[in-house]
Amino acid sequence: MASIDMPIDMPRGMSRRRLLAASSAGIAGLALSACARGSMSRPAPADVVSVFNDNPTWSPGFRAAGRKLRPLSGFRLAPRAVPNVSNYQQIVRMSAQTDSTADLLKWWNGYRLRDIARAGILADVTEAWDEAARRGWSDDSALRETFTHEGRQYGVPLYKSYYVVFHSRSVFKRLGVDVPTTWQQFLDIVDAAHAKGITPISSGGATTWESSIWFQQLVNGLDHRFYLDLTAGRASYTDDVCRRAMALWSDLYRRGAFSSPDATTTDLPGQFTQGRTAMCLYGAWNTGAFLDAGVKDADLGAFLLPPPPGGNRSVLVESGVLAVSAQAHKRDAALAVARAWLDPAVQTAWTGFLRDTSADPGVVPNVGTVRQVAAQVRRERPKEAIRYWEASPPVLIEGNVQDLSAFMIDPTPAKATRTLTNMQHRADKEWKVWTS
Amino acid sequence: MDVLTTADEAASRTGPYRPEPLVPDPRSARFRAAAWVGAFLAPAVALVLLLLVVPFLITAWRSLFDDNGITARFVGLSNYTALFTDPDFGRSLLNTVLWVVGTLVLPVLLGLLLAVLTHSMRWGAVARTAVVIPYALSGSATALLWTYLLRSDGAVNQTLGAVGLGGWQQEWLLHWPLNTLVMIVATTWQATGASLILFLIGLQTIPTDTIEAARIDGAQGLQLFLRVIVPQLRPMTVVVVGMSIVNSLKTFDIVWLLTQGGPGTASETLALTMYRQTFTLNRYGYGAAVSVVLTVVVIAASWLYLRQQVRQRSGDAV
Amino acid sequence: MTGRTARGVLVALVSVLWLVPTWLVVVNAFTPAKEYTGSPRWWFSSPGLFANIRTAFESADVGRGLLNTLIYAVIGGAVAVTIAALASFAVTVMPVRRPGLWFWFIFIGTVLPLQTFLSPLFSGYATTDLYDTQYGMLLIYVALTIPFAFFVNRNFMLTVPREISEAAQLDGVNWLSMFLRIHLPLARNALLAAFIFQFTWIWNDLLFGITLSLSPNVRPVTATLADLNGNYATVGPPVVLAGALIASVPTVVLFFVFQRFFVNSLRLTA
Repeated sequence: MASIDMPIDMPRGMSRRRLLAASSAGIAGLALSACARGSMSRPAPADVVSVFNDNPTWSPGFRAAGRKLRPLSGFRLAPRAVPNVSNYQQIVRMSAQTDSTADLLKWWNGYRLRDIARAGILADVTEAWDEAARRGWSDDSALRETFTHEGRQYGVPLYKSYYVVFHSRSVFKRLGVDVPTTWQQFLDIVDAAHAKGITPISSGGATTWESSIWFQQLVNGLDHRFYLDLTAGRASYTDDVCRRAMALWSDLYRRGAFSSPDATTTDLPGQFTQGRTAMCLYGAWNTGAFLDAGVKDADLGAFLLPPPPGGNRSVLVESGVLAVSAQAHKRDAALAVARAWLDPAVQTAWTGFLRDTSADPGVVPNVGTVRQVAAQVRRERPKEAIRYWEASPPVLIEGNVQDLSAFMIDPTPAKATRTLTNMQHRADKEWKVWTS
Repeated sequence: MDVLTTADEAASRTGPYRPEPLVPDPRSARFRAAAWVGAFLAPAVALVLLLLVVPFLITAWRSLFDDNGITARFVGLSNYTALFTDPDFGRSLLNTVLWVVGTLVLPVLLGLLLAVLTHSMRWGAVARTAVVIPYALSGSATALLWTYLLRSDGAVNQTLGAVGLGGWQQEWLLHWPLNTLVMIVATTWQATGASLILFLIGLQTIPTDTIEAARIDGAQGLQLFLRVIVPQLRPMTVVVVGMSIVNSLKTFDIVWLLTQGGPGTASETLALTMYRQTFTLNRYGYGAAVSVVLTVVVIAASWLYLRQQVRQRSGDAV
Repeated sequence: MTGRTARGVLVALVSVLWLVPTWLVVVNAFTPAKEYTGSPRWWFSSPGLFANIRTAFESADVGRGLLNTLIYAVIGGAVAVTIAALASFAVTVMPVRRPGLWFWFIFIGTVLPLQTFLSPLFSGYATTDLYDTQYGMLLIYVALTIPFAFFVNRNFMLTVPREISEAAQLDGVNWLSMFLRIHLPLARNALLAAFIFQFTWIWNDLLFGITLSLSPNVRPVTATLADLNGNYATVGPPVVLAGALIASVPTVVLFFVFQRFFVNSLRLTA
């Protein structure tokens, strides 16, 4: 029965197929002849060193730094970016075993660096740090420690960023408040904003790493020494300082200090401009994003959060890593680049692009907000601590950050106790795994 | 043996028209038949084997190691014992089951209803287009959109507030099981178009005579739908339901983009657990164990559903 | 009559429900990036779409990405559907030993979780020099889309009356011409649907795009757009939406154009 339809259908079907086949063949020919191989995985020119990283928006900055590196080290930089962080990490790990197309790679410091350094996939760059110290570019033993595995350094700092409170100056003016110098003044600003219907502090993290920001700030602010012990596995999450920090955090929530925990930083520029949010505690590296999204440099302020009562002046520091792959095609060239990386000329070009502070305190980009932060750090000399994200073994951090996210959704004292117990439980387990 | 069986059957069934034997030498015939079959099957089988099955087997082998992505140490089945004693695993399994049930009820059923309802309707094309467009949108656009809708200050809460239903406002994505349920709704929005199209194609294969005959017998509306259309749609229903089961068991994208499995691990599905273990925590062996378990679950589920279908030979479906 | 009205109302309601989110995507892609605050807009605030699209094209190589994706989706989809049609013909019409076994073997490709493949595939691609090449991308897309296309075609071919192939066989027609002249035309709509589904799937894939390719001349558009939406992105969500909207136009058009194939026979009409 159906076979009767066939002769009628066939010519139409055939001609369409032929058309499709012809056009497919055409496109295939075009594709395979012209550019089937990726331009970035072809062999690079002799004076080019590739930088593998997870941030496509940094590419112009790497090129600018490369232009300054060329006369110093003999090599330019060719950035290669994977836009997704977990994919990036995975590719670095996977290509470490096979053959590395990347000479330099971007990584995280602290335990995240130790995690891959002890697997032997990074080259020793201790010499670069020695040279930077000798030349007076950077002599920061606390920072250097976070790039160290068994006494050797495995990367140079991409930047050195402080956790500061960003705020909208116009909102502060409208509230009639000034940059706070004490915890009480800070609380007054929170209350004033809350009373006016302005979100005092934007604080996301319901499903992201950002839930660690206020935890690290409050623990480190209450007791810097304790924070260092805690993250090194020498103190317990159920100790008094942690409990007080969680109580403070819970109390801030009760005051209405925070936005909903599903806020994101991409919303902040608009919220600042429209006067809907007053403050946000974040890495100073976000300055560039604020300015690009339309916040005026003159309207964007930043200050170090005063310590809570009984605490000490201290600040969280975040630093990216520029590491040399042990399997690099151009290992010597990459090492030469690492040695020249902290040269002020390179740092000026790079941090000028980044709009963030350098590991060299002498290099500060010409951005009001960043200069303000650098000046306050120079003036007050707060104790510096590595941020929580890199401060302990990665598996421990990832799990604890998820617990903190869950706490932000239900910030009650009862939940705080449970959260801390869970965190300590995980710490007991994961420290054992790390040292095994 | 099968080769000959079918030919014999064909010959005996067509009885009166029995023609000359096709091929004189049975051995070369068998070889020729096998060569034909091989030529038709080989490309698909080879590609699936090389690019999908072999990588999976490598992963399965990896599940026997304590592997951080750089170095590995053989640990036998201890990844599996760790997995089955992990309290998060139960939650993840439960979420996965919710997804399977939810996507069977919503996108599949809605797709079927819409296909039948809009099939012969004047404005049907408009409705179909409305439902199909989201299927064509990319995952990142969909995720951004649903973030807009579901955030605490998002469109849904705004709308509820504006129409005086402020009491119904929720932190949609922040509490379990609400977050899983609203994400199933988001998936429904995106996936119904696919089942709609497949059912529409299925409707075309129903012979007009069958429908007419049922009409003459007095079947109408719901009765016609249940007694005639649904049974006739069976081959396509198998595709839609089969794919729905498989895809929902593997649910990853929308959850990853909207909640990353959080808060905590509350909305994690098995695929997310695997991803987090492997790529966030760099426990490649443990993650591989999760993916083996997940694969076993998916194969078992689809086998339970499809085994009847696969046994059917073409003759039965007529 | 009331039944018809009820049906009309129901369908209208569903359409509106479905269109509201789509509407939001379009409107918010028009929001100027600098005015974005996280709260969605319901109406166009300004003709910001073109500025956003321009930003998207300037910040990421969207044009080149679109071309790559077009190559992968058209060729990959077509090749996969052809291969799947051959295989489904083999297991439904040809006298294959244990067709169920072959069915499961190919079907298993849809069963395996995609994330499982990433690590072994990356290593395999790196050692065989397929990493970051266009044929490498095509190869994986074809392999990934065969199983579903196979499943659809196989189930469609089951509905083709067996007598047709038996008759043809007795007429001495060889398998290839039987496939080309009888089953392929009959399965035209199912094949087309499978192609459109696989085209869409490849078009929207991000996972393999960012894992197996790196260079702008190889990366699909979804990976290019991910540059805009990465963890340190600076262009803002409206630009991401605008980029995604542009990238979605081809698939939407495809569905429009082929809609008639899905409903061309209105046999159910009384």
